Amino acid sequence: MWPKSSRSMVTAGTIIVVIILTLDAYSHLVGLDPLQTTFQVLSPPALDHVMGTDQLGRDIFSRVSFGTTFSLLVAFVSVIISVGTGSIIGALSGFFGGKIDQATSLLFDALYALPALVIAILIAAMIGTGIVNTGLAIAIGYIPQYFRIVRGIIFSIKERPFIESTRAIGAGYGNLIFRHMMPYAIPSIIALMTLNMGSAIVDVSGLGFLGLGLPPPTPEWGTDLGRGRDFITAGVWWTSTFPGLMIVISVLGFTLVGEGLDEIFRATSTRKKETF
Amino acid sequence: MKLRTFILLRLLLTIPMILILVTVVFGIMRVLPGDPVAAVMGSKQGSEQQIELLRHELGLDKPLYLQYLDYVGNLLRGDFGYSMVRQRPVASELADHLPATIELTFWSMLLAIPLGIYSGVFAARKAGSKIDASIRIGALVRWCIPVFWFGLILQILVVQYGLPLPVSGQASPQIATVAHVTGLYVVDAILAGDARALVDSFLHLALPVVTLGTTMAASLTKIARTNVVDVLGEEYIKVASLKGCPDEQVFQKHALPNALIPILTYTGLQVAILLQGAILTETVFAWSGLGRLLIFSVGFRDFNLIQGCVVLFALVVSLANLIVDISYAIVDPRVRL
Repeated sequence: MWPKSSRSMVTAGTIIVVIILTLDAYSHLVGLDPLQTTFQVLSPPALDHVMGTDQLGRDIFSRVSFGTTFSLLVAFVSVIISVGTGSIIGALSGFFGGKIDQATSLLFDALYALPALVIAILIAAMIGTGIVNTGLAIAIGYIPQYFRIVRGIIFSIKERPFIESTRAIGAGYGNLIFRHMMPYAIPSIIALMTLNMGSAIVDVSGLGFLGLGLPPPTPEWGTDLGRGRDFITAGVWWTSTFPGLMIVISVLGFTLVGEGLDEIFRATSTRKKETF
Repeated sequence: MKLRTFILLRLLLTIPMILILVTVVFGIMRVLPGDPVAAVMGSKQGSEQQIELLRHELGLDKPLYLQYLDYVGNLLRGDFGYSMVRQRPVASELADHLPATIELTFWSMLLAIPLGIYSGVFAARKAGSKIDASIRIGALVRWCIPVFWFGLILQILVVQYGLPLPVSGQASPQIATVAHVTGLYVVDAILAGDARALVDSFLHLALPVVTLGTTMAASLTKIARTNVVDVLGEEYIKVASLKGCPDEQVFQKHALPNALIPILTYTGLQVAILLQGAILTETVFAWSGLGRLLIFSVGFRDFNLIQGCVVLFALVVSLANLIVDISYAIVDPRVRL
């Protein structure tokens, strides 16, 4: 059976993610308004505004719960883009090998030197903000990881007899790669995707914090956190604390699931031990 | 292969890798929508002639491949271009801001590496115990805390509790300014023999270094723990123990050296992540380093400066990766095959 620590990690993580999604759904169903400005500017947490209000008098609780949609959506878009692109290129490169593979590997090895956020800042600075734009900007930085993993797995099963026989009975390349070989990569991809959700959420909020994320007045955690900074020296702590808390909780949820899955797959797979 | 051959090949490999990075950055800057001329003009109106003149000045009327060759050629001569916003060569701007980032990252690594690796190794030795679980949970939670929020929380706490710690900047304006020989405030204070400035520099370093350092330490703890646990499960450890070797010696002479190699190489690779964290930390703490320069240039759409920052960033990381790969080859002969 799966190791106990990973079971509890996956369970705990899933519970957290479900809670976050429920909060998000609640905010939509109940009709909380994150854009409603009031005259109660920068008021501390109280019964009517449980997380206080921001500099425009908007209820922070509404913004924070509604904001879940945006942060999670952008993160999800970026993960999908990077998984799709990285896996396909990795599979093709690993399968066909040769000079193309060497060149592609060199390209992605070099790209590893630029961390996701730097690439995201660069791209966001050029193409501007928006859900797809921000998602794309973040996705580029994570493509090398998927490329590497899928390429490695394709490499290791390329020479196996069952591939040769499948080819011998007339399977085309597409069929061979995507129906017969890719499934072996799925466990690793899933674990990596979940972990990447966590990193992507941090990157979305990072971009928002720097002012490069979704345009105002979109209630995004990082953006709110960044704008709320100006009032800290005046003793206003709630504008930045609560959005940040949401980031930590959601990242924790996804990371727990990802780490747990990763441990499970490492324990149950027969591939060679990697150092990390 | 011989060590010398490996080092030579690895050094040669750096050239195409850096070229690829520069090309990618150049490509992103030139190919994606966004007009540098419009950025420079800002809200000012200009005649057709003026716009054409500006375009010519910026070299934007040449075909793309010529612009690219010009850029790479200039880079080789150390010319990073001209900053329209700051009205100085980009290289000067970079040189002014680099020391602050070096200082921040140096002290952060000094905190992170012992803290992270020691707690990871400690947790691995006590694997399965409650202390192991607490260390793992602590590191995991700390990893999930974005570096900029952690810094903000520290600032909030200092302000709320009125602690005598500075929350921004590298030095207090009240302390007599020390001659900027290196640009590294701590070193400059020592060189000038100014004790108050030295203490002041450290006080200003405190919060940012704790922020960035603990972020890095969190991932190091996890990596260290995983590696040591893996090594402790190896057969040769069992053999050493069965041969009668005392546990402590098994650990120090057999387990630790084998575990430390991948840990240290991973640490070197973390330089990229560290610099990324430095960008955010510098923004939070108003630290005049490369990160803040990058964000500034993005805000003002100073394309040459943006490009210069990212290229320098890539160069620093490539250098770190080079050092890591070579040290790995020196320490572990199996890699050179």
